[in-house]
Amino acid sequence: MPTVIALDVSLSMCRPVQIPDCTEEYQRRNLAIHGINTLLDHFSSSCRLEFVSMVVFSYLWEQLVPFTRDFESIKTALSKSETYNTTCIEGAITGIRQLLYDEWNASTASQVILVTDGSIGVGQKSLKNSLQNWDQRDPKVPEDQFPLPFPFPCKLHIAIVGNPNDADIKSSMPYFEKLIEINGQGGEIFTPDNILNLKSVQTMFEELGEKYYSPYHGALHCGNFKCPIQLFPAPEPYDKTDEFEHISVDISKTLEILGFLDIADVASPPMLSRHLVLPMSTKNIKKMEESKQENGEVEKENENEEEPASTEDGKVPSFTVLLHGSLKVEGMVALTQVGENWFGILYSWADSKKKSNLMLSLFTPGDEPVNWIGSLDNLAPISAFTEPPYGEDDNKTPFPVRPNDKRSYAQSCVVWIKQSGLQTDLQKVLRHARKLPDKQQQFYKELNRLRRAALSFGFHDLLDAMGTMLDRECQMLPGSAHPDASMQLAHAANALRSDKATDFTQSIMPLRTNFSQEDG
Amino acid sequence: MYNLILLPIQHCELVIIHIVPFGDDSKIADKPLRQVSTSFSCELHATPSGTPLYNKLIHLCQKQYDLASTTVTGIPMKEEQNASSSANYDVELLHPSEAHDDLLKSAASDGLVIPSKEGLPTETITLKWCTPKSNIIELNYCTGAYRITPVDVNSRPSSCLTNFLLSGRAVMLEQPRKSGTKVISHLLASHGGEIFVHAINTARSLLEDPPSISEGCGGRVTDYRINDFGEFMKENRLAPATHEMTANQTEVPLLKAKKRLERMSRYWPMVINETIIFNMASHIDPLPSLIIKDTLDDEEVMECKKAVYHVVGMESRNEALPIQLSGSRGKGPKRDEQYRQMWSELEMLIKGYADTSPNHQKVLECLLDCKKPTAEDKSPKKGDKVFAKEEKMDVDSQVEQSWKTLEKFQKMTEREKSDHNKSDSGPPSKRAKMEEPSASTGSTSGPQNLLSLWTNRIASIHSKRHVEFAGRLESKDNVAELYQHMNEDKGTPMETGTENKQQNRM
Repeated sequence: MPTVIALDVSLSMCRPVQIPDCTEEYQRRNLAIHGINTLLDHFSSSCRLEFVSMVVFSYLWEQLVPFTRDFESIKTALSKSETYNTTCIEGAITGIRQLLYDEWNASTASQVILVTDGSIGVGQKSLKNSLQNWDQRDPKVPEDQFPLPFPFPCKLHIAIVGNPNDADIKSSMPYFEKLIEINGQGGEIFTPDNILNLKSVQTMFEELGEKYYSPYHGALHCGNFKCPIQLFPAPEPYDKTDEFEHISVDISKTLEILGFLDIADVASPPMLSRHLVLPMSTKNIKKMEESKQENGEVEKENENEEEPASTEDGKVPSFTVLLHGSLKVEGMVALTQVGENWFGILYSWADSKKKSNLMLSLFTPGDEPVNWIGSLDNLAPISAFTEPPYGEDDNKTPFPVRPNDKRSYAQSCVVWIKQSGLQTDLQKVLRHARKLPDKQQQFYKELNRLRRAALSFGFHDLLDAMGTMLDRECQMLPGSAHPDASMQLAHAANALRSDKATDFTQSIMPLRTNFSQEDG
Repeated sequence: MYNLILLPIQHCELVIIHIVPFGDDSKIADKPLRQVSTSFSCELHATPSGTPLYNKLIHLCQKQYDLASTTVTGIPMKEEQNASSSANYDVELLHPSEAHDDLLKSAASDGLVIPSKEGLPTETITLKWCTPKSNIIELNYCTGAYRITPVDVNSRPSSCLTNFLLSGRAVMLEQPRKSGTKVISHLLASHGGEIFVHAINTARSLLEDPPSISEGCGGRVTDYRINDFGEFMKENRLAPATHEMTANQTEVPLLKAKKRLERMSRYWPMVINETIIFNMASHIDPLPSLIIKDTLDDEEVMECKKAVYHVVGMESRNEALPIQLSGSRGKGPKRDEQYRQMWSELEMLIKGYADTSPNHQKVLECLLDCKKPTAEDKSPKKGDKVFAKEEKMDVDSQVEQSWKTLEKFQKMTEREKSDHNKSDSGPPSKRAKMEEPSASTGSTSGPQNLLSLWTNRIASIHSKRHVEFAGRLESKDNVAELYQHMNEDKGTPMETGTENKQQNRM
């Protein structure tokens, strides 16, 4: 998930920090940059595919580094950043919101980390002022709206480089808490433990990284096949209030393949999110377990975790590679259960450079996430069928699941909402009339369809009008026309004017002539 | 008290539509939505009949269901009069507004938002029709799929579009941008007679520049059983259960699928190099496909046994096993070592299913009987050891096993003789001859084993020739005779065995 780190570069960040037994003098901004670097180190060790953008703000804001995976470039840029005047938090958040919105779509989950010394600014643009009327802005001025909550899934974290026991920080805490509350999508305030020094700020950022940027480790199961895997980006728990119920599901540590489907049958289903499935080497897992047992130092374990698999690892067969290869060759997907009543599909995915990999796409939690596949619980293995659902030679498919009723656009119902609708239908009758007697069957079919529709709508005038129309057609027949044509037209015109024509249960039948008998 | 089954109504919104004949003036004016009480609100609309009524209803529907409008522009359609030329049409569609979520941030600036072309009191977003190139089946990254309906349901342009889609083809919709770049933002496709608009992700991908699977764990292995696993996947495909299937069963069909996957994968080596038996399918078929079944009938047990006997035959003839020499360093394992591996693999496969039914157990027993002398005894002179080990085994079942086979063989002897004479030059007899030396040299080792080896061999040749007589054999079966032999001591089968051999030689 993309991350924006926003650093306060107002003058207040230049305040020196009193650190006992320390000869060097540090400013708050030095500590903040040190903390951010710690976090970036965490990214490069355990989530190297993370996109991070660096924003600095004071009264104005500026995107220092656009979204990148090159964390070193952020460190370099940070070291060169300058200092400006006062803090304006609302402005910064507005800017961040725009950045995220422009770059990613409304469904990409992202995180914002606001790094500040805890000052809320002064005067009209202070956070205190902003929050006083955040929900009473004039809706007609879109530029003036309060930027929170973010219109996309986004956590807001606030890392305060300041001693939490200081009086001014204590007094500004409620405002920051309010920000997170307004956003309402998670996130928290991080403060150093009691004292403010390099170590405590570092620990604070390590904590943040641990808690919100820990990679997903789990296992992929397919019957007796088992394979430890990692997902990137780590899937977010699903939490949403529906019309009728509140759904809250966590992704399970075990992804269980339940069966397979053809790509053509799943037909581009709606997906909640996509995740790369990367196999983990057994060596790394051992290391992880050992380090966890021994000293709980997760940092060390992470150092090796995402390193390119050594040649040794590459040579140990992995189930994901086998699965990926077969899914790609056969053009299939694996239906996978990822949580309670939560499913997804695994398939082979290639980027523009033709580098393919195994991908997990998550459906919306629930039993029927894809309409044309129907209830997932109702899917049975083909061995349970007496007749093979895919045919003897794999020449048919049991999908899509058809709804019981046909849509109006899928059947030829009469629609006379606009004049053109009625005209088109009448023209169709006339077209067939001109091709009598060849089109006799179609002519009477259309004629009766129109007649019934007119009767249903109470549009009885139409019957007379149609009669007149057919009379006129009859007179205009060229001399070369088949004699049967004029007889049928006259018959139809008369039938439309007769009393029987208004009887819905009756149909106008073709006139039996010598000619038609000959044909028959 | 709320009814627990029915959903309680928390709020009621009453919409009154006052219709006046077309051309008349309404004496009642529209009244906006008014909250009458906490659970009741009301609004009033006045409209002339006819087309305005239709527009009013569409508008109300749109509001109620939060629908947005998309106009597909530039649909090429053949002219009615002049079939050779085509004109471009536009079709306006309604769908849940979420389909536009991704689009809205740039749509306005690119001039995509225009007033509804069908005269609806809303705005519509124009998306350009992209002529489908081919029927490439691929998985698009769709963030949503929503049902659509044409605003003018069965007008000619609408039905042209819907029929095109209902016939199974899909249309990509392009979002024209001022910058000139082409962005495919939506896809129209029908599924089961319903048309959906799929919203395709247009934002930057989080997964830019991903690692390739060949760079990860197991990526350097090149001899995965890709095709075999493809078959495995096909056999484990899913299909919607029919009503008949679910009516009298309590188990969720999907759980059945999970169980089946477990069953199918009990012994499944991933790499060609790691397996011998799956590289010699022609030799052991249909055993691998039969053994995974939930039930085995007697005939299928026989089929499995035949496969085992066939491998016994191969071993006795010292045939080469299809082994991939990986890395081609040296000559690879020796042949008897290969057979040892092969037997243990076969045992693992069958053992995985042995507890399914007594018949599955029979196949395992058969295998263990056949495997013994070769697997655990590399030189035939260690016969005593084998014999000793064998006695530890469940003697009863083993004796019964060999007797049954022998019995069958004896029943067939007469018929077999004549057949045998007729087709003397056929390959089976050749194989039988080849086997003789091994049988006679092996006579020093455990007698019962040799016998079963021999009779198995003969029985397998027989059953191949006389499949159609199996039923007749069963009916003629004399039970008394079978038990007679059971009661005799161990020397007797040996004698009968040599008798058979002699008969064979004649």
